[in-house]
Amino acid sequence: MKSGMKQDSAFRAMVAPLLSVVGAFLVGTVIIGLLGEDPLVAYAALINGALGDVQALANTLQKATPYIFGGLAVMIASKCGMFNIGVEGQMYVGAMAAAWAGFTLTYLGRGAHIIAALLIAGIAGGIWSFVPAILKVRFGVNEVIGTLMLNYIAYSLTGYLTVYVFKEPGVMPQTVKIADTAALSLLVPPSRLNTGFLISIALVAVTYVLVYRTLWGYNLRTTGANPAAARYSGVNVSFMRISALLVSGVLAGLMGAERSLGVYSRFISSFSPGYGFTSIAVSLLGRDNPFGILIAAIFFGILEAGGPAMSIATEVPRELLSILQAIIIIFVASGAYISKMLSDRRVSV
Amino acid sequence: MNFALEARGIKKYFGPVKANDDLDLRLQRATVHAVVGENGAGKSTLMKILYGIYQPDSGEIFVNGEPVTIGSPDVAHRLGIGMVHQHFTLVGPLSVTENVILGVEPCTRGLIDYKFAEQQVREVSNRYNLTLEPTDIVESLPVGLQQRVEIIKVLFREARIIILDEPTAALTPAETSDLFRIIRDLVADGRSVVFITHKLNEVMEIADDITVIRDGRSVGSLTKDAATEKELARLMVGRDVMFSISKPEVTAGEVVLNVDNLTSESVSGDQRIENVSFSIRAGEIFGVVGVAGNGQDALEEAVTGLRRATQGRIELMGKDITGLSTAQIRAMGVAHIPANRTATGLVMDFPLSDNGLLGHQYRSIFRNGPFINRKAVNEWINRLIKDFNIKAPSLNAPAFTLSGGNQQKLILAREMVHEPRLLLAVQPTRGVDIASIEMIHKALIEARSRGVAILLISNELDEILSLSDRIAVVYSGRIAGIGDPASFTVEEIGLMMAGAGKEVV
Repeated sequence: MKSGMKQDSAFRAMVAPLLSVVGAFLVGTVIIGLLGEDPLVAYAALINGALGDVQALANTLQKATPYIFGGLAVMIASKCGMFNIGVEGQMYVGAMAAAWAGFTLTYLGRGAHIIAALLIAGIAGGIWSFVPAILKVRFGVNEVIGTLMLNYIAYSLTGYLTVYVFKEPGVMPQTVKIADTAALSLLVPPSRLNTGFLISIALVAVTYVLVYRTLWGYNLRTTGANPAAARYSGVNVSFMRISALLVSGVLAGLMGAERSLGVYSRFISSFSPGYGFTSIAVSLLGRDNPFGILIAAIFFGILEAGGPAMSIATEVPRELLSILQAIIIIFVASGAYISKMLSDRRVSV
Repeated sequence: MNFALEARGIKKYFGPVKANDDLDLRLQRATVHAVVGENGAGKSTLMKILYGIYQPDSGEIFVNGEPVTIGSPDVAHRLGIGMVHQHFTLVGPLSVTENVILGVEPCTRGLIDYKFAEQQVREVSNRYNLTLEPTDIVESLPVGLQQRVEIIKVLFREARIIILDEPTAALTPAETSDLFRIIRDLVADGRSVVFITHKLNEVMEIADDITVIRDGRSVGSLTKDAATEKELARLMVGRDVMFSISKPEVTAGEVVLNVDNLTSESVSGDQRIENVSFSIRAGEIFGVVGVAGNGQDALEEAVTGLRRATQGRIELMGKDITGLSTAQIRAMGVAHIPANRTATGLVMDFPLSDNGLLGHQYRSIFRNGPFINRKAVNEWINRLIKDFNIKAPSLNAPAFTLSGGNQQKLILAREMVHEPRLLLAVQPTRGVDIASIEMIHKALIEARSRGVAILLISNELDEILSLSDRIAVVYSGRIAGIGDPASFTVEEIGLMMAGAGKEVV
């Protein structure tokens, strides 16, 4: 019984996500079967397309990178009991800020230029989450509303800046290219996997320590789990909520910077296929644990990178993978609900 | 002879937990049968089985000698079994009548016949002298009357067997004696009552027969005449229990807490405190008693910096602490056992190690700069577990796996160990077993002997009277009486709690 408790809860935390993934693939098998294709062939093509060689693997990790940043951003807010659905918007302003620094601060040397661009992107993302944080703490505006609304502003603002202020001549809605000194280096060219991925891995460890080993993290988790107990113990709950959303926004800003400085070498208007929103699912699948998020993000990277290969090898459309993602999310969400129901029942004895 | 209600060999397991393990209950017709036991003994589980909320794993139930299966509360109603829950199931904004007929509305041509319903409610109210007005809005009624609405609900469903779950928990002494009168009337009318409680003095006053439950088993079944409080307590706990608390003589020292003309704000419309003044010296227990909702929450929160004062001063060791933050006040040596351990005192999903740190996380001994010093924390909490005999599977076990008594001991340990100057103990023994009550009371007395000033806020008059050096009775946010407990009779205190007392200083 001594350490059984911890293992038991860690085990149970793993079970629901794993079952969800397995369940989703079973549903996918049925769908592929109904399309008259061989599921094994389709899945083999998927895996091969995502992990088959070094370039495929690099491509998978490149696609996973924004989800690592984004999942961590969602997690930090969630640990404090808040739902940051504004990661998308914070990412956009971060991406634009990084690109601006990239093509403007050209007098900086290579190292300084990258650091400055990342810093500015983080600050921009932080400002974008600070606004709903203040609205929540001072005026009681639910952070879900606040962060969501700022998404639209971010989207339109960066679009405006792209088209009317920093536009590259030509038809594409994108800014001029960043200076080489601001570019995040590619790790295995020609894949666009870049040092931003390494930064995201480092942040997995950093956020883990921050949440589980520091006083700030203890206060963060206490505020999230029981605000009344936090207040009772002397925690300034308003401060915790503001700082949590701020950190969340900074991570989202860096998420955008990785795209601008590492993948596109510029800001492209409406570049995101919904990275910020999918990050919510990643955080859910990763059970709000930094390492869980890393695994979940790579898993989503596999689905996205392997999709094209699957649809070339078979008649299965790549949209199936979006369906699988959605099914996984539904399973994980209901799994969390079911395990909560089970544990509630146990307590009510 | 058959019984109004009989349960034989009831077993109900929740996983490895034996909530009911071979329980028997025999309710004679037109009597009051008390079911006593500590929290967690299995009383509530048994009642939920009798009311059809749970199904027993094995065992038989008979109503009037007929074997029955009570598959749901609906079935219980049809068998004439009604239940008044400890936490009322009333709809506040609705009238008495609307609450009573909820789910069994008398209809004519698809419309509710309010006239008929009101007439029925009035009839029942008059018959048992419940003094309820059918059109009154329930949330405007005092707790004692709300409980009567629950009783009418049960009677309206023609219950012959009425289960009362801890019915006196929220009542004043006067309301309790009214309830007892109503119970006697119900019994005189041929109804049978199951009365669940852990208060032994009430058992001796109202019960005809008594069943004692411990660890899910019935450990004693006796008539009132054959029982004594001491014997019942021994059966409940499984060993002899000390009833009196021996308080050593302590000379009160300097003034630790001084509250001067304090008025607090009201949070979401609850009762604030108004113009409250008192002081507590080192080595003194100052007891504040009152019916729940008369400003106790405001007082607790104002002193600990959780609620703003709009007027007046709070001084700790002569220093003004009005307006300081909770963290600052804690750092000055104020410890706090909050009124609601699960909602405020603990984070139920957190492991013991994190819960033990709560309120002490700013102390430098538990930190290395910005990092938490896990080793120091765990060592400290292992000491708490040992010194206060807290039964817990491990440091990593979440707080919700502990029993109520052990949760409370964890809070007590955590708050006491750093030798506070002032200890604020609010409802320190609510919902814990007798053994833990003894231990908690002993710990408070020991702290007093060491010179801690203790502000004890409790709804349990017995607890206040046996522990306090001085008491204050609160009513409607004001102090209705303050002084030496010996200078009041229990009746006087009861009157002041009900707002009928005159100012005594």
